[in-house]
Amino acid sequence: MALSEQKTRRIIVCDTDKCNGCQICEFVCSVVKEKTTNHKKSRIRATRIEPFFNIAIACRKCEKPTCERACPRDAIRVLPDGSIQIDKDKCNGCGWCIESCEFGALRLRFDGGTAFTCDFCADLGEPQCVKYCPKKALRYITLEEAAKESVKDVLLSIVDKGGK
Amino acid sequence: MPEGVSVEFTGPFREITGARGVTVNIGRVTSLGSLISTLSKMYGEEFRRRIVDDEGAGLRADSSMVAINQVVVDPVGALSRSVRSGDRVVFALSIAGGG
Amino acid sequence: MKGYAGKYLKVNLSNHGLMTETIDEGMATGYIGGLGFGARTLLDTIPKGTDAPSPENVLAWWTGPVSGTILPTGSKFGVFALSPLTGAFGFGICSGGFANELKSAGWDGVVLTGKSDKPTYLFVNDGAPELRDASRYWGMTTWQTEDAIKEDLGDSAIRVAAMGPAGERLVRLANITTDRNRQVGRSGMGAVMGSKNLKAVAVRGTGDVEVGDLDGLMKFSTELNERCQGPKTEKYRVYGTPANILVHNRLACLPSYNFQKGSFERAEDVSGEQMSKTHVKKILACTNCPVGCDHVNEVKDGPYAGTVASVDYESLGQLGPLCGVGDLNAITKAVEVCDELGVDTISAGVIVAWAMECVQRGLLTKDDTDGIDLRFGNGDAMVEALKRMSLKEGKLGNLLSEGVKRASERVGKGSDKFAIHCKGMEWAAYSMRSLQTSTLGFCTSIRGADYLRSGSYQVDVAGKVDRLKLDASRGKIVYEGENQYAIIDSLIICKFTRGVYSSMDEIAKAYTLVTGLEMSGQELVKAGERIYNVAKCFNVRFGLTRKDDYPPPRAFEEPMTDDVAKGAQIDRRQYDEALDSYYGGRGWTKDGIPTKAKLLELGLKREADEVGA
Repeated sequence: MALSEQKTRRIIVCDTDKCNGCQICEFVCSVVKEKTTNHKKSRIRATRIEPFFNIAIACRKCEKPTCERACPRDAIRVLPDGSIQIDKDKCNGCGWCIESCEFGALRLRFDGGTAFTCDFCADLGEPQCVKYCPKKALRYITLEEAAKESVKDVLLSIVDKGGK
Repeated sequence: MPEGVSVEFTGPFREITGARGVTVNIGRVTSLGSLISTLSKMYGEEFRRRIVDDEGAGLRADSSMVAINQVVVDPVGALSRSVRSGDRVVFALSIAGGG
Repeated sequence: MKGYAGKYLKVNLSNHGLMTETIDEGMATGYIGGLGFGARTLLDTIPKGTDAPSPENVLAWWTGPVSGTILPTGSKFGVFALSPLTGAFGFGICSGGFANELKSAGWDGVVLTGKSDKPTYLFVNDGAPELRDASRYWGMTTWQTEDAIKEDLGDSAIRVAAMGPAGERLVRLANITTDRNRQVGRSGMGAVMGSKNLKAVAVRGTGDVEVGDLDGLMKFSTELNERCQGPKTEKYRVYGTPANILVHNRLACLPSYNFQKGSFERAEDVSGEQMSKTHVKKILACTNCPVGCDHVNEVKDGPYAGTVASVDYESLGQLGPLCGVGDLNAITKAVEVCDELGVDTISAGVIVAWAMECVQRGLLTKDDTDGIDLRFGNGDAMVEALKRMSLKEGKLGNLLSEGVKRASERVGKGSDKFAIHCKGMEWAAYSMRSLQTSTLGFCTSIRGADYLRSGSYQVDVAGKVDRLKLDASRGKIVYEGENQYAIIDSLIICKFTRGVYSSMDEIAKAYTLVTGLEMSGQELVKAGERIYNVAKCFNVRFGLTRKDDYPPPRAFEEPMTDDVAKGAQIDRRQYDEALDSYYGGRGWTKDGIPTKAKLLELGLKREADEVGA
């Protein structure tokens, strides 16, 4: 990916302090993308590790996507913005890409048996899950921005405690 | 003879005021609306915003509750309710179910 | 019709038979779902004279039309049966992902009859349900069971609702747990599972849930979600229901020391404010809820360090001030014990508090309590007593596991005078004598002492009425609340969102968007009235009359001694007048029996013949 594209590459970042496991992102995704309610057809995946940890993860737009390399049928293409496109005609549902992704960002359709992943609601201009998250835990930002926020949080907590 | 009104804060009112309670000198009698004005001067406009609705006409009954001695104040006409020296006034969230 | 799956699963545990049954539009618009379907099922299938722990009891699990859809808080289900605690209409409503999963699997509900000859669990695997051996899970806690079943079935997305060891032992207040922190809490539904050798129900649903107008519903849900971030839900989101502690304390309506008092000298130590500061680790949400009110504690120090439990007002109140306990660590531990072993914290607190008063009065000796120093304020003793009660261990455990009504009958010596219950259901954390409209609602509730049927405490605490008196205006407040709440419990949505809907018409709009069926606010309220009457007919069948609609003697005979609300007690004549106004407004007789005319008006002909007076 070109340097200029790297800088503007945005992904869906989830603040795990704010994420409370409501799964509304999943329901919204299924309604928007599949025109039905079925959270197992959602692109973004809400995960919980009891008792407190909650996170929602979607495609990370990896620099060297493991899914693309894994696909034996060349069904996976990486678009200029880093997002993934899967050719439904070439895909035979082997699921190798799903296994290869460390983030569980790909899913298999129950009906039709092809793999799918988040396209960041490209046709709508912004990821809808981000828009509807009730606790504003999801943000559609660059990694640079995400890093700055993390640093800010730490610094603020030090300042709060009266540090210099 | 107790002088002033004994005011107690719970929930968000503690956070806004930074206090559990305060005694306010009012003379013999005042109105709840006046008491709230006095407290807003002491603790800031956020206090007023939490308890009085936007038009300033009454209490924000959907989220707040005021009790004078043992009686919860009916939000209708609340601001003109009398408050007397020696009364105990509590500012709280309106009560919720249980779980 | 959309929203509904249009079918339910009938399971005969005795012969392991599984059958599909359909639901038609008449059932849908007449009874909505959830509580409506549950009331219909119980009335249609459980004959007079049935024993709650017998195989003839029917255990019905019902979702509503909105489960599986995007309508906020719609993922709820109810479990219905003849209650082993009250011998009358029993049920609980529960959140979590279970309801969504069941609808996605293609079922509106599951109705189980009979008894399995060995430990069993039902796995609703989309359209291919099966009964499976549960011997491996017998003896496991609720949390262990959930994890183990998911692991054995190889799918962590499966939702499990399980009873704990308490249910296995038929402890009368045993509950059902799902998603760790969510319960079908009251009236002993876990004990009914135990009596059927049914350890759990697990569901995997992969299907789509279709609605009538998806775009319209999405728009409406978005609007509701925004309202759910506003002032109408602030009290739930920030401090959660534990915020009630200090407020109730100030108004002398915080039940303390087994309802002897309405205030607690250590209320500050167990307040929501304190809990937020020192114990709340995270605030979680139920599946598909934009509010998020589940306050989960973690104990940091002391002998209970590491304990994690979801603590709400009721658990806090009943295992704190009611037992004289002012220690959040012990309270959190007590909740964890109840959740893992599977008993209702509200009933549990009342039973232990009763035992503590027995000890206070010398009616129970150290021998009776198996050596436990069960005095008010002793948090460790409370925790130990809860464990033994849940496992039916020793003299004490066997006594307490019966519920406060039967336990007090067993002990005698006048202990029934301070056994605080209505219809055998232990009283929730709302003072009897200083919230009198609330008390009326507690006593007319079909399930026994609780406010979830009418929310009638609201007028008391909003200053709309004189909470220290009763009069003939209160009946209407209670039954109107009951009819509305019956709808909330039938759709099923969360009562914490009642404030964000502007009217019953708006709720009817949600119903139409989901199902595609025409519905008005008025028709919904009528359905609510119908549902409540059907449930009442069930109670009449099981012998409940006016005599069962009274609070315990303490309410009438012992004036309060707290500074605030000093002298408060319920005047018997005022109570009767209020109760008469309730029956009259409902179209029931003075003995609390629905009249033939009322039942016919609601289209309940069979019921009119059977119980109509």
